[in-house]
Parts: sequence; C-alpha cells; structure tokens
Amino acid sequence: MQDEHIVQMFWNRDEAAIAAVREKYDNYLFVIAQNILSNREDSMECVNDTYLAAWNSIPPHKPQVLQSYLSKLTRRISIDAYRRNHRLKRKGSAYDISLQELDECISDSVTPESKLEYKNLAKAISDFLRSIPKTERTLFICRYYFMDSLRDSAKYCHLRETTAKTLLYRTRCSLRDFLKKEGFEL
Amino acid sequence: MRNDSIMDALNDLDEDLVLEANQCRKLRKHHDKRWIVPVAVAASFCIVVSVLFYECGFGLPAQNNENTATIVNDDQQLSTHDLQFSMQENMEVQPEKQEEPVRECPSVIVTLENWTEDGFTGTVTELVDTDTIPLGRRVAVKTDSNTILSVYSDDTVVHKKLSDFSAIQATKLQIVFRPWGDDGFAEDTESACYIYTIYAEQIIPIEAGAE
Repeated sequence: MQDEHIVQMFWNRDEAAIAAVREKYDNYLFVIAQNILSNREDSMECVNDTYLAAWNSIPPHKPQVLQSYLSKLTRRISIDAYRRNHRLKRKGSAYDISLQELDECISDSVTPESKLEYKNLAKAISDFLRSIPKTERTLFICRYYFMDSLRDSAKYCHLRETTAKTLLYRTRCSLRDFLKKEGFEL
Repeated sequence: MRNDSIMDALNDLDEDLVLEANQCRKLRKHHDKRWIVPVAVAASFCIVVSVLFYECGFGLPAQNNENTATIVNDDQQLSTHDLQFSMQENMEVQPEKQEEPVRECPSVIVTLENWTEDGFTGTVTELVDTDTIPLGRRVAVKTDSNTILSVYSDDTVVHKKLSDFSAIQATKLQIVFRPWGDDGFAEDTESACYIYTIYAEQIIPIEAGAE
C-alpha cells in the first residue's frame, strides 16, 4: 500500500491505517527501537507507542515521507524510554556507545532550550552531512541516527570495521569544526 | 547533557538524508541474502542426483531376490501355526540347499490316526532326531499321487509311491524332515509292520483339536 494512501487513511480516521503501517514498517521500526533499548519487550512497546503517536499527530501533520516520520517518532520515543530507564546509570547499548562517541562534537555549555535551537542544530548537521562524501554520510547516519552497531554500519557501507571506525572519528572531528564555525560553542 | 542534545537534534535531520542512508541499509540486507538462491539450487540439484542414483541402484550392493529358486509345492500351506508335509516327486530345490553338506536330518515317528484321501494325521510318539517337533504333537501330512514312501525292511529300503501301498497297514511312519534328494526306486515289498519313512520338506504341528 502506498504511503500517500496510508496517510490519507490517517486523515480519514480509518483505523485500518494502523494495521497498514504495522504491516509495512513494523520490522523497520523495531530495529530502530531495539538498537537503542537492547530489550525486545521495551522495543515492541515503543513501536506500539509510535503507532499511537502517529494516530494522534496525523492530522494535523501530513508527512511527506511516512517512513521518515515514523522513524523519527520511534527514535524519539525509544530515546526517551532509554533515558527514563537509565536515569542514573549508563549501560552498554548502542545508544550509550553512540552518545559517548558524540561527546567530542559539542560542549556541555550548549543546551538548546528552545525547539528552534534544536532545529537550527539539526539544520547545521544536515548541511554538514551534505558536504561530505556519500559513504561517510551514510556511515554517520547509520551509526548515530539508526543506532546500528559499528559492524553493521560498516557492512552497509561496504567497509571494514576498522576503516569505518576511522572514518567515523574523522567525521566527528569535522562536524565539531563545522559546528564551531557555525557559531555553536564547543 | 551535551551529547544528548546532538542526539535529539539528529531526530530532525533532513528526511532525504535519512532515506538515502536507509536505502543503503536495505540494499546491503538484500545483498546478504543473495547467496540463498544459489545455495538452494545447488542443494536441490544434489538431492535430485542422489535420488536418481538410489533409484537406478548405482553403487548399491546387489540385493538377493528371495523369490528365486524357492521350493515349489502345490500342497504346501504355510503359516506360523501350521506346517504341513507336502511332497512331490520332483521338487525345485533351492540351489543353496543342494550345495549343503549331507547331514543328519531331524525325524520323528508318528503313530497314525487317520488316513485321508490327500494325507494322514497322527501323533508324534517318538523323537528320532529333532528339536523342532515336540513329543505328543499332532501332525498333519499332505500327500499326493507322487508322494514317495521309503520302506525300510531289515537292512534294505525301497522307495515307492504312496498309492502303491495299503495305507491301512501302516500304523507308524517315520517322518524325516529333509530336503528332497535323488533317491532311486526299487521293487517294493509290502508289510504291515514296516515303518515307512516319508521324506518331506516340512513337518507341521497342528493345533489341538484341529484336523
């Protein structure tokens, strides 16, 4: 079923839209949640929360690309769940590892307090990613957006693990320099 | 926390960038599965070849056909409970039996009870050389016109057809369980006291009360 049709079903408040989304994107969303939470039950719960969030937000939203919209919902819900579960203690999930790696990209003093500042930061990162080669870009997004493991991220980009690790390090350094140039404090 | 900020900001990444990266993930997953079809085809081919080899019997040892060279006996009725004597003048003997060395054959002496048109019944009253037929067991022997009786008299033995004898005169028969051999026949002499030896393929005990 086409995404446009599914979005229209959401707009028409047709509950079959949930089933259609589940059938098409359930595995995709589950992988994103699982990468962050490393827990099957929690991941399934987050995916179900995603469907509920989509039902509650469409309308008024009308996403152009349903897949991206859903993945963002899942990612945000999963990260929130992770933070709730691990408020004081860090564990070795992919999220935690990615978090540590991104330590060097931005300083503690930068704490965007408004949604606009988050959007500006996101825009800057997007601009940065467009300026780098496709392999590095894909590698970065697989690692830090989809929270894929280093091994999987390297596999997706047809790279060896050690090469991917080096490329990610260089990309993080370049991002830091880029954000510094854009006025974000490091 | 600083790195959490960037993690949150990544959530608002441009959609086309996310889609482009996801496309590479999908392609790689599909690429990883490309081995499945060739391996499946190869496995199917191996199975087909194996089945063909098995069906054609290649490489398998020759199987003995148990149905060849069996003893043919029109009167023979075999079962797990009933064995019957069945004798023919000319029997087809299994090649293996013809090649067997001569040995003492199990035999019993049967006190006759009843002569019938196609045989007789009796009771085993003496064991000569057997561990297959118990004492006191009733036996049934099927005979036909070609049944040969070997008549022992002192040191001599003659073989003649059953029809040439007065069955009533015989009260005892020694039944020898042995393969049919090439015995010659001599002129017969008749005596009611003689013990007749019937060379038979099998001795069959009959159930109690059965005829």
